[in-house]
Parts: sequence; C-alpha cells; structure tokens
Amino acid sequence: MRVAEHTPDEQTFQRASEWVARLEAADCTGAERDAFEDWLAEHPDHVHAWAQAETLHQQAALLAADAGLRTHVAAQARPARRRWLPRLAIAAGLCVAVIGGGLFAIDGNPATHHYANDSRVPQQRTLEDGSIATLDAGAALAARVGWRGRRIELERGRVQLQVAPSAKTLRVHAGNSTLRDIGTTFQVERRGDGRVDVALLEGAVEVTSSGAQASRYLLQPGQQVQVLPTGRIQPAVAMSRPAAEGWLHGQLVFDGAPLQEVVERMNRYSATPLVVDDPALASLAVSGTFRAGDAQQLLRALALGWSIAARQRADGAVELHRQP
Amino acid sequence: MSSPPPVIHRVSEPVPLPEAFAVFVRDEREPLCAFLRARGASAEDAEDIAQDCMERLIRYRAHGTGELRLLLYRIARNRLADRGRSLPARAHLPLLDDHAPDTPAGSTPGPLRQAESGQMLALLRQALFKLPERCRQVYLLNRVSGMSYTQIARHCGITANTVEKHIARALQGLRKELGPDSFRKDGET
Repeated sequence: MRVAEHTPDEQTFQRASEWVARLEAADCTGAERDAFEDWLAEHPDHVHAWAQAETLHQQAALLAADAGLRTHVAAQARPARRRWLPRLAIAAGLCVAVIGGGLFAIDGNPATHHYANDSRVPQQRTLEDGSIATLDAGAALAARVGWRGRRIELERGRVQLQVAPSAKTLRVHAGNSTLRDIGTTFQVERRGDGRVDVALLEGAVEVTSSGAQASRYLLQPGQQVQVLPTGRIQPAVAMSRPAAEGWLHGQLVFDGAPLQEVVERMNRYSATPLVVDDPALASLAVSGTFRAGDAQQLLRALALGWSIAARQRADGAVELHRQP
Repeated sequence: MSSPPPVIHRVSEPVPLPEAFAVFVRDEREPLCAFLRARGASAEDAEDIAQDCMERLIRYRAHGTGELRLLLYRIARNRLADRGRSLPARAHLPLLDDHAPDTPAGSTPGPLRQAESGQMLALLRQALFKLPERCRQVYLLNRVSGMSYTQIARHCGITANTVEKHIARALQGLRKELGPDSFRKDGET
C-alpha cells in the first residue's frame, strides 16, 4: 500500500486536477460549476492546488507553439483518416446516446463555435469537422458545421487551415472575400487596413470578392493573392514559402514588405506595441527574418539597416522615427 | 434585535476590500470584457457578465494577483458555459463552444509570462514524455491539437469520460515529475 505517500497536499491536487478536467467536459453542468467555485472557497489550499493544476494545464497548451511537437501530434490526428469515421461515429454516437441518455446528442448540432487566440504564440485547434486550424497570435474565427456545408468566418488576424476532406463544401469568409475550398491547405489573413491575403500551400481554392471591383480567381498551389478593400484581386504572385511557413514556428520573414506591415505583424506577439506615425516611414520596404516577439532584435536591425530610431512614449508604445 | 454571536459577527461584518483587490478589479475589467466579446458576447452582455464575475471573485479577495487572475478567467468561462446552455439557439446569437478546447493560454496573462521564457516549457515537454503513452496521447490531442473530449473519444475509440480521467491523470503525473515546488512563485502575489 502506498497510502503513506498521499500527503494531504497531493490529495488536494488530485481533486483540483479532476476539477480542471471536469470543467471542460461537454456534459459538465451548471450545478457542477457552482460546486467547483464553492469548493475553491472552502480553503485557501484548494485555490493554491487548483491554481497549480490550471497553470500547468495552460502551460501545456503553450506547447502548441512547438512546431516539432505539433507535427508529432498532427501525424497521429491526420484529418484524412476521419473521412471514414463520421458515419461510424454517428452510428456509435446514436448507440451511446440510447445507452448514455443523450450525452452525444450534441453531435451534428450546427452551433457556431468561437475560437480566439489571445496568447502571443500561434495555436492549433481542431474544428468540429476534423479540419486543423492554426491561429496566429491575436487571431479569431467562428466555425459552423452544418449538415450540408461548413462555414468559417475569419474575424481577425491570420489562420492556416488544413481542411479535412468531406463532401460538404467549406466556405471561408474574410472581410470582403469568400474562399471556396475542397480538401486543401491554405492561409488567409485579414489585415488592419481591410486587405485580405490568401496563400495556397496545396489543393485548390477559389477566391470571390465583393465590392465595386468584385471579382473571382482560382488560386493554384504555390500562389498567393491580395484582395483590396474595393474587391479588386491583385495579380497572383508566387507564394513565399519561408514567409508562409515561418510564422507557424515563430519566424517572421519579410521580403520588401512595407514597414507598416512588419510592425502590424510583430505587434501580435508582443505586449509593447510599435507605432509608425510618419506615412513616409510606413511605406519603407523592409526585408529580413525576425523572431516573433523579439522587438529588440527588430529595432536593432531597423537602426542598423534603415537608420530608424525608437522612442518610448508616455502610453508605453514605442514610436519609430527617422534618425536625425 | 437578534445580534449574531460575536465570532461570526467579526467575520461577516462588511470589511473594506483590500486596496490591491480594488486595483485588480479596476485594471482587469476591460481586458475581461474584450475576452468575453471575443467569445461571442455582445458588448452589453460582456459588461453584465464581467460585473457578475467580479462579484463572485470577492470571496477569494485575499489571494494574490496571479491566482485572482486565474480565478477570474475560470469564473468567466464558467459563466459563458452557463449561458451557452440556457440560451436558445438563434442564428444571430452564436452559441458558445461550451465543450470547448477553446481556452487559450493567453487568457491568463500573469504567471504564464514566466513560462513563455521557455525554460518551464522545456521541462514540461520532458515531463510529458514520461507520462504513460495513452495518457500522453490524449493529453496532447487536447492541449496541442485543441481537440474536444468528444473529438478525442471518437479519435481514440474510448469514452469521453475516459478522456477526462486521462487529462486529470496527466496533470497529476506532470506535477509529480516537475515537483510541487516548481510553481511556488505563482501562488504568491
């Protein structure tokens, strides 16, 4: 018997970890959530133990930024395998529903699910249809899987979608652009100024825009296009693979990008925003590879290569200006 | 006039809230509202829920800022989950992902900043590979791929209840591996 090893502390932690797991279960009830909050209030040690468990649990989610680990897990959870699973799963779900009193009845219910990444590192999420979304820092989307179609609304930021094969068409709405897709991997980004960038890694995607210059374009693998706020789709250019794949593991690659764009991207990963007020400076072309979140490295490069100096403002932001 | 026994009286008397707590509530309200809006709450609902959360937080007021922030966002997610159940499914009123993998790490900025330095993550990564295989697989599918319990259950051919048990066990295993002292500083202010 190893009972002696179970210090009260360990038992409290065990209870706390069970709560952490319970609270994220689909069948967790409001009464259970209230019971949890009461349990916490019973003793400060309960809060300490739970805070440890919760912190661990959240830190583990930060490992999603670990590209190696993500690949390792994605290999085990390949969406393609799911092609055959839904029907089985539905059948199994129905059996369990009969036995288990409807715990799985939620399957197939076309509710909208929100995914928001408030952290400063990219995060991977598996959507209801088995598609894998990698949300860049600060990105948010809403996904709805119905019986006939799949719809994703990119609310802000950048996302890479590895679409699970399915007979249901997937439509992605990003600002004034709609992407139609059948089984593929692509990236889409809503920019602060209303432009939308689409890059296709594999498969095929049709881009349709709305607005005064509404148009349509069928994107080939390895191409990227930019949709202007007017709806105009700029001519496709070859996708920069280092740039498209870099952000997934914390490398921001720019090739003649306007400084404004560099700053907008960099700010996603940092608590201290960089600001460019001078319009002439904002359009300055910058090239280089920078570590996401390492503003100091970027500032050093800007000072050296582009004679740009930085000054801390009273509100905490760092303003960029030309060196006098 | 029925006065309560002196001992209880001392405890239940309206105590002025600690200064640190008041500052915390003031600073955290807006980020919390933004968090709620990002999860589908309207601006007005976000204000209401945030108010409710702050009131519920009062009973933990003696704790340090790090723990308060964790508590605040846990309470907020609980309220979102409550709401997801009680609201009718109307098209313009999105339901919330209440069996959500959607609990981004960034929702608790405080102690996690330290972890982002990388050292803790490296230790955590090592500890993960010492978990029993099934337990690790389930835990990584949840944490790294963001799969819900239902999705993992389907994927691994186990019940959602077993998924839940693996998750709790993974946390216990990780703590055993990392040692209870590795978090000490998080518990303090």
